[in-house]
Amino acid sequence: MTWRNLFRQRVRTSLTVVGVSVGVVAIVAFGAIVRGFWTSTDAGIHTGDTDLVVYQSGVAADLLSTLDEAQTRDALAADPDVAESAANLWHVLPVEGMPFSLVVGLHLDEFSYRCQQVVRGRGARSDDEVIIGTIAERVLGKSVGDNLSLGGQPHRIVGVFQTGVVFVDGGIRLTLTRLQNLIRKPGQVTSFQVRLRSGADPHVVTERIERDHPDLVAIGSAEEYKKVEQGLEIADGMLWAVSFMALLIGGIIVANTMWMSVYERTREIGVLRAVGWSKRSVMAMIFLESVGVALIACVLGCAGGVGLARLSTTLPVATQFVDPVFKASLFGLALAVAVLLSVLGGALPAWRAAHISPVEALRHE
Amino acid sequence: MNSDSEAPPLAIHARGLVKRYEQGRIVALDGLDLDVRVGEFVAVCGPSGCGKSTLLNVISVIDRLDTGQLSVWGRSLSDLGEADANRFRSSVVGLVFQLHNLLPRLTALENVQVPMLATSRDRDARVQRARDLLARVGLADRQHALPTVLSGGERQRVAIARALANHPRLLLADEPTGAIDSKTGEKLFNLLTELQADFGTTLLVVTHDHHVAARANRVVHMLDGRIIERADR
Repeated sequence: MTWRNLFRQRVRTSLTVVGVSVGVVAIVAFGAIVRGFWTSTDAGIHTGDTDLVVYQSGVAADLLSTLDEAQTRDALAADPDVAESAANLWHVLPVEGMPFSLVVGLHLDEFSYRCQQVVRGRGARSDDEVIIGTIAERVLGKSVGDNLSLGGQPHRIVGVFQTGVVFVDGGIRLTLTRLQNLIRKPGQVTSFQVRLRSGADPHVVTERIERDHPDLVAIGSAEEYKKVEQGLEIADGMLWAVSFMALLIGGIIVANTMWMSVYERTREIGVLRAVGWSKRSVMAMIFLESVGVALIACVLGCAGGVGLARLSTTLPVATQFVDPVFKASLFGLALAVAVLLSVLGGALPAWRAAHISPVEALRHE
Repeated sequence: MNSDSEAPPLAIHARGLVKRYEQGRIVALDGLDLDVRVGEFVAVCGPSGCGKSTLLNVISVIDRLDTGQLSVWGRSLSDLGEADANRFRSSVVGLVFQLHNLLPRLTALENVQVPMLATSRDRDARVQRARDLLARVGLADRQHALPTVLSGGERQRVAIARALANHPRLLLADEPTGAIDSKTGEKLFNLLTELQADFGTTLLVVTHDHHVAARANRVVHMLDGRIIERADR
């Protein structure tokens, strides 16, 4: 009976489903992208068995972190639990066909460079040689043996690396000295990757570094990334905002549909009450219809969200940064939103339906 | 001639029924008295607006009395709570409306099951009962038809089957032939009286149709919310 009632006005029900699905699509697609950022960030932090990454404290974005290379290296070397450290200079440059490319400068003899998994060619041996990630290789359409202009200077691609971390694999690696010169930041780096001695507690070392050097912060996981980057937190906040908006708009759409449906069926509801249906049974019928709409929208929205998130990875500007992650919790959130909006949207129409006077309803034209 | 002590017990006992609408401006029932005995077929006649439908509404508890005493099979309806009223409507009373009031998206078989949804969770039993009733009203081959493809008479027969779904002791019919032609109406009433005899149901019918009224055990005439004349046969 629920299905029959849902599809008595096929166009209206379909439009309602589409309206609610749009919200679910937004939740799933955006949520998967945000979750992908978190996963990539966490994986990026631990590239090359890195335990901690040290940045300048008090910056709003990680790329704005500026450390004095020599001074920071000495500070880290003085810590008894730091086994070795590797300097990184990160910069975003437009590179030939790519509007944004993450260019990272590393010392060739440090572990951060040595640990690169070169899948084609070899590692760089001089300042005019670079290696590029597999995603950059695809986006740039260049590979080993090709030339690449960076900052107006020619470089030769000698290798292609792969880490599995999307924003890393979308980038370019060159020597730290060359990048410092290209962007006129001699002696400056963005961060240090730190490997700890066996048995050292990263939390203890983090506390000590931050206590002894207030100009530094140490990060051991994506959750701590907010110390230097608010983007992930903002993205999380936006996901909740999108969910709330989807809930609000979807709830109104469902409520409108159910309200019209109840109005149109006033006489039928009167008949149901007259033949002995309780108010609760009538309410349950309307609620079931409302839940039916929301669940169909949820299924379609989840499928659409997965499709949209995957589609977004094919966009040139996003392919280097976006790697959606579809966790069960995300679909759980979509389902929770769908169920909640069906309850919110169905409540008032169901209450109205249950409280229609059978006598009045039977007179309804 | 039967004495009172040998007469069947009362199915409906109504005294001084009053029902007003629109803050008392419209008096639908104005101190109405009525007794209907178990197994009786009583026709209620009267002009439009005299309170006939209101009488059926208060007996079926889809509307409530302002004052008066009304009992059905000895059970006072004045103090029925919401849940008891639902139970009463679903199990004691069967209703046939002037307009069939079938649910348009449900087949004849499903429409007959609608009252049983309030009383039975056994789907197989519901379906079997609905099939039996449709067969009894001559619609065994139309059980999967939607109301839109049924004729007016067929729709009313489905409505009668629906009214009988929960084995009601009291069948209330409000102008059941009012929306169909006289020939079909005649057949429908043949059916109603047959069913009444078969199931031993008490039948109270509101009608304008003198042919229908002529077949009743008793006819009561209403005017301005009161019974003005009784005619036993």
